[in-house]
Amino acid sequence: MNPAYDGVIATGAWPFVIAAYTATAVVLSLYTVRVLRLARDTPPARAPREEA
Amino acid sequence: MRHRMHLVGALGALLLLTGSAWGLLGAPSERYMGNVQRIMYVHVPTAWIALVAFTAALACAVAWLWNTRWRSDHALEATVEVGTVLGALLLVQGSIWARPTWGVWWSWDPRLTSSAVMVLMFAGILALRGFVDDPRRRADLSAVATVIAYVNIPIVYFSVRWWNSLHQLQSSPQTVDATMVAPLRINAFGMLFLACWFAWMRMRAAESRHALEMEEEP
Repeated sequence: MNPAYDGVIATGAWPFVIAAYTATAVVLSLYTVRVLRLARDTPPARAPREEA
Repeated sequence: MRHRMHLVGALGALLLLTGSAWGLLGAPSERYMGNVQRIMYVHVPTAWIALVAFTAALACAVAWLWNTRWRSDHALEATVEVGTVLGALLLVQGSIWARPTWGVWWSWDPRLTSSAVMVLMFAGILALRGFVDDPRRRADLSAVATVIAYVNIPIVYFSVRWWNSLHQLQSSPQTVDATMVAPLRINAFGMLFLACWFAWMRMRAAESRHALEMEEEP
């Protein structure tokens, strides 16, 4: 293992870890808002479904 | 059914929170990559479930071409969208992981390039659906496009084995230390349940929009 490479990872890891988890939380939250908004704004479909 | 699916979504979110907390605070740091390897606990489940969503989209596409039931087209729209969102998230997570380990945010490596192509192809299918007004034609075109786009999925999966890739080989509970398996599994099930809830919600929205389109037709 290259010590310099090891050092870069060891010293600067946490900001990247936090960034990755934050990006995950943000994307999943935004998409949750999108699907909830779609459910709210689209009137419920009437049964029975029409087949092609 | 509705309440049950909302419970599945809530359970998925709860599992993701638990697995992520475990991965961040409970799991040991990796021997060579140190703490940056903790990104694996969200990156790998995102990859798995994105591929599952695209595989479900392929099944929906084949089902539509086989029986032309509208339900297949609605499920295709839902699964392609969920897969594309997870695929885009996968690229962001991967880029953040690449910077401290490879020294670059992006490399035209076979795994990264094929993953970017995958996201672009499925995003293109969503764009295609937005451009075509006729529901029948839209369903036909997107089913065929999904089958074509899916050809790239095995390339994404096996790219790290077929070529000399900068990306490491696929991670799985069999390839990581026993102490890392639990948070990885918990997050994988969390992402799966959440994706199922997303797809179910999107499918219902697609059904409703289709019903409106049919009412509007002369």
